[in-house]
Amino acid sequence: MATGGGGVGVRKKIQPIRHVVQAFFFVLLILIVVGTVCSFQLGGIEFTEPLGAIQVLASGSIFLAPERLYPLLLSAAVLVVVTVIVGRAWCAWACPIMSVNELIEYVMKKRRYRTPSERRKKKMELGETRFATLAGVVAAAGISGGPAWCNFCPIGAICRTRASSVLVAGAEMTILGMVFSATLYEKRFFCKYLCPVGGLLILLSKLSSFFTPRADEKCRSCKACEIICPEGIPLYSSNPDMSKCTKCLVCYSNCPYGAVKIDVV
Amino acid sequence: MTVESDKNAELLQRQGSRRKFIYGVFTFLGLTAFLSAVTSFGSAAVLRPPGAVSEEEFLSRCIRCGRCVDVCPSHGIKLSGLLDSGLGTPAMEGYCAVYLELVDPDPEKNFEFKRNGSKGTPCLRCVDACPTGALMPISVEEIKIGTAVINRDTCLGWTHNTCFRCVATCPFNAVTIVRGRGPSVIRDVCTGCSQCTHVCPTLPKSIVVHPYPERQLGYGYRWRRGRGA
Repeated sequence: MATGGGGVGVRKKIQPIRHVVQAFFFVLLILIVVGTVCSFQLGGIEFTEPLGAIQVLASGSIFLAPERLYPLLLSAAVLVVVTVIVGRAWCAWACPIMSVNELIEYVMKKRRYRTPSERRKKKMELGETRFATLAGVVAAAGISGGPAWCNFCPIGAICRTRASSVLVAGAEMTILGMVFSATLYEKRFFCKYLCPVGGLLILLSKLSSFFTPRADEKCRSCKACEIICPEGIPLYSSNPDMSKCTKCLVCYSNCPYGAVKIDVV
Repeated sequence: MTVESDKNAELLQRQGSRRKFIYGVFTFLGLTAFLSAVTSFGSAAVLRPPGAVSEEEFLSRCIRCGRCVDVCPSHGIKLSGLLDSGLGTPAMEGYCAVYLELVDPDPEKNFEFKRNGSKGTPCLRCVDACPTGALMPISVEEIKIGTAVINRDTCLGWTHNTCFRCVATCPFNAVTIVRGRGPSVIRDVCTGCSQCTHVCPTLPKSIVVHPYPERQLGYGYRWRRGRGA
């Protein structure tokens, strides 16, 4: 079954809807839930960021307390299951860092600011350093015997600011400042090159096949999708790697020929 | 011509992928080294919330999610700073209510609470909130956050034979008056809840809780307080 190719209205409307969802999750995760995005309880469902759980597993000591091991795995499985179903949708629909990054990009667009790589008309080619950071985070957890990354995770930092002492809050503001100012250099620098959670979700979304954008026969290979895609996926090509897709549907909204379809299954 | 350009493109691509691979290796090694080094930076012992396992275990499990900070009814937990053991891990900065009835303690209220002899409702919300077992389920009798220490040079009880708010406040009667002279802490009975510090009128506080070194003995260690009951 495939939807899409529908009226222009539907295609343009999907982005405001996504921003509303982002704002909802931003307020929910930062102001409402007890805890942070790293771990919280909502409506009886325990949620834990899978990377935190993986680091705790890598450090090993949780196996000494098996009565806490299974609840931990169960709560970490929530995002894993979501990712296996809808792919990396977490990044573009819920992650507070991505939301703020998109807000910055919006301001940049309004102010007609162009990043250095946009001026050079060439994206940075750093490759998939996300997997390297992911491996580094897990290795560091094993070596240092603890979830060391959690101190530096900007996703946690943006949620923790109200929970911290002044000194930690300052350090976290510095981390967030670095992450967001990197966006001025290249759009979504942190998300695209450094985020280990993103790397983990990419690996998981290789199992996913739902809600995948696809170019149909109306496609004229104008490459607009590749240029506008935050992840730079060449949707026009014959067999693009869709595991990086964040399901932000920007391609669906902006294809000049309306040639992008969303394969629900 | 076409063959040559194909060859060039292939060469460029191979160079590009090799460069990306080297970027990846550097990122991996750099991040691993940095994260491993930075965790051993701070070393000052801090007071952990009730139910905390041994310090080493605690640091290996705590994911700095801050749930214990959010659920604490007395807002006594904060995330620790750079020089403390375990950057960003929860540490007691205020007092632990222990019983829900004792949130916002004061000498009269606590004295009434003790005199009624009724069992309070144990709080321990931080323990329930912890997702990774850094805080493990614990009974009120086993709580050992630290031990209160009295500075006899500034304590009003020792200097002026007055005040004794800590004696009235301590929910476990761990602060007693020795030989009618001044308050003293019974180390075995003290939980380290810091309610005495909260009510102490002097500045700087004359009774403060210090981290209890025995807590670091190892996993599964639980303090059995020497109370008769």
